[in-house]
Amino acid sequence: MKFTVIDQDGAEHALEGADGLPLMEIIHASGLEIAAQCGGSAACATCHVYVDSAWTDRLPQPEEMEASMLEMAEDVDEQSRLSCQITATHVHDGLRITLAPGTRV
Amino acid sequence: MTTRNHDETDTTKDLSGLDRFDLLDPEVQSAPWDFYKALHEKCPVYRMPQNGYYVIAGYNELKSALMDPDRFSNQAMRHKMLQPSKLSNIFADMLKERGWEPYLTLQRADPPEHRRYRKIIDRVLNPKNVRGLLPRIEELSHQLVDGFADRGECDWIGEYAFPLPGTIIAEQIGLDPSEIKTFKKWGDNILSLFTKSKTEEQMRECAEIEIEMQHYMVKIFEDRKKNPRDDIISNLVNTQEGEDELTLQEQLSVMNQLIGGGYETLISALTHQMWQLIRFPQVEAELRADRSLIRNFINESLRYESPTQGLFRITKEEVELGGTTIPEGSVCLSRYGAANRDPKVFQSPDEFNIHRDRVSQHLAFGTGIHFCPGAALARAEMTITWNVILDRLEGFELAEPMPCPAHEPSLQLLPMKQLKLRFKKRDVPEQTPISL
Repeated sequence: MKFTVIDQDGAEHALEGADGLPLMEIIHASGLEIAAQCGGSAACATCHVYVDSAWTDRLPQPEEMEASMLEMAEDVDEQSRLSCQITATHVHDGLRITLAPGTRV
Repeated sequence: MTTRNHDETDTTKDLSGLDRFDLLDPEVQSAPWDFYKALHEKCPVYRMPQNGYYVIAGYNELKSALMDPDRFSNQAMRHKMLQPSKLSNIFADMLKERGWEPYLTLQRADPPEHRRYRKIIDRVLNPKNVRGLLPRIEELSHQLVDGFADRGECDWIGEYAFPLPGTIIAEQIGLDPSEIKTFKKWGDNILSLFTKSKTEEQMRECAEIEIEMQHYMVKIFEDRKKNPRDDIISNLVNTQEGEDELTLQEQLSVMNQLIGGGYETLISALTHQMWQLIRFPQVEAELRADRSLIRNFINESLRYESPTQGLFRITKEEVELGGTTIPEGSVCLSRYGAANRDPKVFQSPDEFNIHRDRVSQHLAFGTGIHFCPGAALARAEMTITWNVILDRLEGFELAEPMPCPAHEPSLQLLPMKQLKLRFKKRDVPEQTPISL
């Protein structure tokens, strides 16, 4: 699946990753800076991203762990998600996401 | 989850030379770097011949263990980890008789119970709340520097590295900041149980101090039930709708970990960072020229001399990891300090380099569900500290030679014995805006 990541400095990167992987893992493997300190356990909010508004409704809603972590994170808005909790599937082809400031620690 | 290295199997592994390192030896504890280097070369998961504990030293091996709470359990009773059963029984019996018996919560709990305790801590120590604390941390940082700036010398630990985090965490937990020396004594007592071997007399004294702490806390719990505030204790004793109330034993267990985890680690980080500025003076010049490097400096410092070198995990089944078979029920040392010097992940790991690529991948705060809940607060205190210190002071050097070894004996932590600092006060302090 292909998607676009806008980094903390505003630069765009076209990424591609295997279906089934969390987006956080794909972004991390690409070499972009994403702290993701808790390794995908929804316990730190350092993989926080903003999902392009065209896509927010097309993703599954956050589960309890993710929702409660987002309540406690910084710089959160209605497009905020934890990229460790979004799994890449063909549904997301063309998705655009922006790395939140808190991904840089 | 198995990560067998083709070059290393149980039968062909070359362990020669490793037995000259004993992690129970205070000199090795104070400077374990050669031991870690040998482990990375020969054996990333190593059975200590001294006590049969398994040291998980490889970065990838440690990360996979920390992400696997189903097989690597956190249910380690701290009084049983390092002390013979006769002494751990004395400790438990004394607590049972005159206080409350040890209980496993939070860092010492596994899913799903772990989440219940973690939520309570996260409600207070989360990144959003930490942002609100920044003015308070900056104010306190300046006040502490005011206390010694004109002298040109200070006891860095006693006058800054302890009172800054000590006061802030006391305020967040909901304890009286004028008593931080007592809390530090309690914290050291808690940590000593699983970091130092004890005599029977020391074990009894340890229990006495813990009982004193328990009775103090129970009084505060009662007060906070009647007069809730915006602090951790209030959240601990007044659970939210739909949540089960925690028992007194559970509440005390959580407090025990906050007091044990909240003091020594950040003192160690701030003290190592000052020592690094002294040992690597070009770093001070670079940070002055570009304050945005403070972030890298902090991460590199946490990687290079991780305040928590290791903690405990217990295997719930036989696990094969890094070419070593770990039997069910084994005590493992999750060695963050070693993983952070793994050359497979960090090039030239024994060099201190604030320009290191992707240094934030270090495991100094752990990873997985037990990722340090105080990480955001600790980062804020460190970032503010180095901005304030660079604004107001310069030319750091030791006012007294470092003791040798530089650290207190400790199996799991890296507590510095002292740092007597000499510096120059800046004539016209800069006022650089702090960005986190």
